Amino acid sequence: MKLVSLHKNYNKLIQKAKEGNRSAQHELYQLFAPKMLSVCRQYVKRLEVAEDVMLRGFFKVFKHLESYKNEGSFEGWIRRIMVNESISQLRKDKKLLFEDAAEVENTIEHVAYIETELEVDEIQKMIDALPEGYKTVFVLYAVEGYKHSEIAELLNISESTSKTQLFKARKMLQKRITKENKLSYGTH
Amino acid sequence: MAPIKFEDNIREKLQDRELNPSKDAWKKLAATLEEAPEKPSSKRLWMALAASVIGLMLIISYFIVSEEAPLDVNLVEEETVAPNLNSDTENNLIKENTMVTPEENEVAENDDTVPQNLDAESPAIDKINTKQEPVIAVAKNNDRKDRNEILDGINENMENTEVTQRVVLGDPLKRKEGDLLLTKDSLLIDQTVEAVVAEVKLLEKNNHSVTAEEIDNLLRIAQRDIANRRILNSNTQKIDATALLNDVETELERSFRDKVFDALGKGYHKVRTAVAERNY
Repeated sequence: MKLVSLHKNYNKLIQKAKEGNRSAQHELYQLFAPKMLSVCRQYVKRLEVAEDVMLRGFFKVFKHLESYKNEGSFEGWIRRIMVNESISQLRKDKKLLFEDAAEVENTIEHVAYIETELEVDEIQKMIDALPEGYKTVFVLYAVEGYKHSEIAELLNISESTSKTQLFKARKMLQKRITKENKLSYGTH
Repeated sequence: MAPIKFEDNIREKLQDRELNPSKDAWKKLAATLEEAPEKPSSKRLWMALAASVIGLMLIISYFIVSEEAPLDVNLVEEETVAPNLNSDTENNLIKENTMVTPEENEVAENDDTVPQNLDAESPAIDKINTKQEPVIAVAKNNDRKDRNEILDGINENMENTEVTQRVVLGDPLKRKEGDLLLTKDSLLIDQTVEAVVAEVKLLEKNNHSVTAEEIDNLLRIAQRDIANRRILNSNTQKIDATALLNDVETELERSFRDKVFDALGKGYHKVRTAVAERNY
């Protein structure tokens, strides 16, 4: 019931925001800004930079609101804009580098299992520790649900490079988690 | 605790996470939105585009309509077929085309001012002779009329005559050598000349001194009449575009004036001579 009513409110708000109603735009901002800041934070380490990226994303949302045709999720549409802005920021900072490493022969996914749930801050710390290339591909694939073909188009890399980057990102994360678990077991 | 998929754990945690932006964040965004120029809505763009297209179509259609001038340049009028004539029989043709009513004949015979025994060799005299009667008859039956009315009377006579001619416009290849093309123009000019001469004679008869201005005035009226008859075909009531254009250029033509002056000069001289000889 709540979701339905929210959806109805979105349409009215979106229509008013399209007409340039500032209070409607403010209301949409308040609804989605916290989640979108989290999205930007996944790619950008510094929170204040992530906030600037989020604001630029919202600027584009309101300027191109007419291109949203009420097809699909509005949140998903905003999220895609935020991802693009985050990647643009990484390119601007020249941090988006992909090693010309040899392709890993065996890129079959090895499902990693952990004993305990990790807290979100710990997860973010581990992700921040990854190289930018590994981190970006991992977040796009594992968190946002992009396919390798979509990642390749977005980052202007080949699909094999995308798969290699993901493999290496997982390997590093597994090492980190195993190390963390050993340390935590050791303290108990 | 059962092992859990590492990536599923990360996905759940990160997707549900919310981070509160700073308090000044919206102000920055609002300021940026205010500064940015407003993008015209697509509706307005489409309406402006449609209006400009409609306006363009109106302008084009206006030009198309204005260019469709209804002038029919290739106007070919073919009236009754003219017989093959040579230049020697020109006088006879004039005589044949002239319709003199019995009443006019009687008036002419009884009018002393009309020279009866004129030299038939002079075609100018014949022209004056044949055409003078209706003018005099009209003048006698009524008081002195306006010159235009007199010309109208003559024009009626001209319309009633049997015009045997072939008028072909626009294609000179159709004219054959040896064919005497008595064009309508020549007949018109001749007849109008005769009318002008008759008018001058009438003025002199009434002891009016014919000034050069009066003669010029008569000439202008007659010239205008000829031009109008050239332009407007009385049979078809169509406007001849070629004639209309030629009308503009006739101001430079001197043939009409020359003819009139010649006719006046010869006719007046002959009449005076005849009158002088008659008194002996």
